[in-house]
Amino acid sequence: MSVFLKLISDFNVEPLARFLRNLPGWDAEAIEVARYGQFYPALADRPNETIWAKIVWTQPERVIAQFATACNLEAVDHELVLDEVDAFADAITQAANMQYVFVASWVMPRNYPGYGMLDWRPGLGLKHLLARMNLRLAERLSVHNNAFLLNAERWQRTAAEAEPAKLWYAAKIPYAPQVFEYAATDIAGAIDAIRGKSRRLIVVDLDNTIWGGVVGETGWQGLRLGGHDHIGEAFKDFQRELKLLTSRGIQLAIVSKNDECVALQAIENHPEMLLRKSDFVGWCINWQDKATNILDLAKTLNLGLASIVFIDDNPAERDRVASALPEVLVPDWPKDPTAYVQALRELDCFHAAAISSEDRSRKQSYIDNREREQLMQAADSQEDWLRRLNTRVRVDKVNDGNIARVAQLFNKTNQLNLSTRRLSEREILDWQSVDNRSMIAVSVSDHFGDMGLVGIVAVETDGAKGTVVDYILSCRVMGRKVEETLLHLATEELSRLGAASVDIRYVPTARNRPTLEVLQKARLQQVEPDRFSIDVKPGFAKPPAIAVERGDD
Amino acid sequence: MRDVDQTLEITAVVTHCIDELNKQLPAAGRLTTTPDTLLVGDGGVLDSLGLITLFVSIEQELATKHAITCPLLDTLMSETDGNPMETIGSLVHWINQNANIGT
Repeated sequence: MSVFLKLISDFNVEPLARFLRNLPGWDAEAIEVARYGQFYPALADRPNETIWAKIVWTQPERVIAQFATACNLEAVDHELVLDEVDAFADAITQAANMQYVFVASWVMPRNYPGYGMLDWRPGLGLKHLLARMNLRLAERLSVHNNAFLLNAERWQRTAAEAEPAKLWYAAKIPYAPQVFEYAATDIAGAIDAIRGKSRRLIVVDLDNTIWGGVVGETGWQGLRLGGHDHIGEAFKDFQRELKLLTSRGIQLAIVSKNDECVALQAIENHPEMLLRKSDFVGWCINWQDKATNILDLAKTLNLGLASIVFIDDNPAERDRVASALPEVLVPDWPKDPTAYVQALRELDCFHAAAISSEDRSRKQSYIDNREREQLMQAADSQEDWLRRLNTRVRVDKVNDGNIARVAQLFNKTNQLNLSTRRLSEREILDWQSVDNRSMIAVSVSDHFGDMGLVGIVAVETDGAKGTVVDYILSCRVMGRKVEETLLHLATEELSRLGAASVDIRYVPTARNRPTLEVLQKARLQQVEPDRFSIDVKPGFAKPPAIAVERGDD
Repeated sequence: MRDVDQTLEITAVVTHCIDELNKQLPAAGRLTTTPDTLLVGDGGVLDSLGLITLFVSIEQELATKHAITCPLLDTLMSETDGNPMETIGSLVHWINQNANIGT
């Protein structure tokens, strides 16, 4: 973890820093705690490029003066409280111009009585007022894509321990250590999401994982799923929870030791199944080693192993996958199926910094890909296949309408990414605002469907010398000549900016080797092992099977 | 027999609380759970926040799970002449001697 975090609070937040420092892969030196009680000065620090994000966690009665008065059960004008919330939000959004800011939502101490049975009464109750304050804060922060309001109530609720008052009186720590532990995991998950490290695929086993029983022994008619059976209901709820995740862009796949025909029959025919074949982007149902099957799936779906979570009721299978594929997240799994939903909800690895239409349609995109593969097998040649796909590439300028998706690609794409610059929306817009620079967003569609905005090319010139700064393409369209089309578009952009030559410098990372392979396969002039060049005249030819359309700028 | 059971209960609570505290400590500064591990004084690795966190969590777990009350933190704060809870072993002994057993 090389990003630098600053924790800002009006209480002693050191326990959070300690839990964060102990997370696997985090650099202990990269976490700083601002002096508590110095909330506004710490938030308004002068621009400091080494700080990547600020974590703000406050108690409402200590940071909003009018709310403190309300907590003394004195009459206050709730609109004045909201004015203070606005000022608080303004300070946050100001800081968000410089770096990411993660803000913990406000919570009341456990069992705080307030006005008792009247505490939810509008205009009087503190619970009602605090709910309005959180809503107001959420709305004010939502206009800034670098600011995120995290659900601190969940941290507090998940901790089984009561808040020890003695910790507050002795050390000004208002919560039990467990609350800080959950907060650290949740915050780390959110940071991973922005840095493109969220998990994107859940691979599930079948027997005793998404249904009760062994389908090979009982047939689908004998499975425990739904119905008037508490275990069956628990499995059905677990399926519902998995399906919900697909609406957030998380994909599902199956790796199971079973007879494929029998298993798929159960998936299609069992009346209580919520997950059907169309809900899975792929499956390997056979008697082979599960780790090998997961590797095959990852390859087919063009996903890195670090994107995968594997869920299996069998500890031996979990152990095998965890040891063979350490990048795959293999959570401990409860024995009791009624605890499955909770176990899934506690996985803080599915955060998304934004949910785009591309995320919502990703499952369909993978299913379309399967059909494309089938078409390829039926085609006479790759050219014939590409021609039959009828691929269209649309080019747009980066603008307010597509900046969220562009930032998502910048921060999530690993394999086809020339320089792996991680930039916020503001940084992207600032970068491209200079005259000698240009950035284009590329959307792709074909006979099977629309894959949405999947690529970015950023170029700049220095006199006659042109440079491709970013070349980013989602793995969803790899292998269909879109890679070459992006090179063509890069040279066109540089030609338009007056460049005579094109310099492409590959910056290696642990995961972007496919980018180097694309550049090598494109037969560019390789001037150094990591450096390529193209002459703007004649440029790089557009693949004949691809149609390019320009959007309205 | 009751004394032996109580000592085992207290030792288990102290060990569990140290395991929990270790999640907050850097790898090089984690506590082992042997009786001679230093907690307080010269050679102890815990800072004041670590000590407070540990003692409060032990107090809380003893109270909620075993109905044993003992003013660990108060004693730590008020001792000026040596400390009866210098090591894990002496901490367990001290709790055993000073606990008010609930009914």
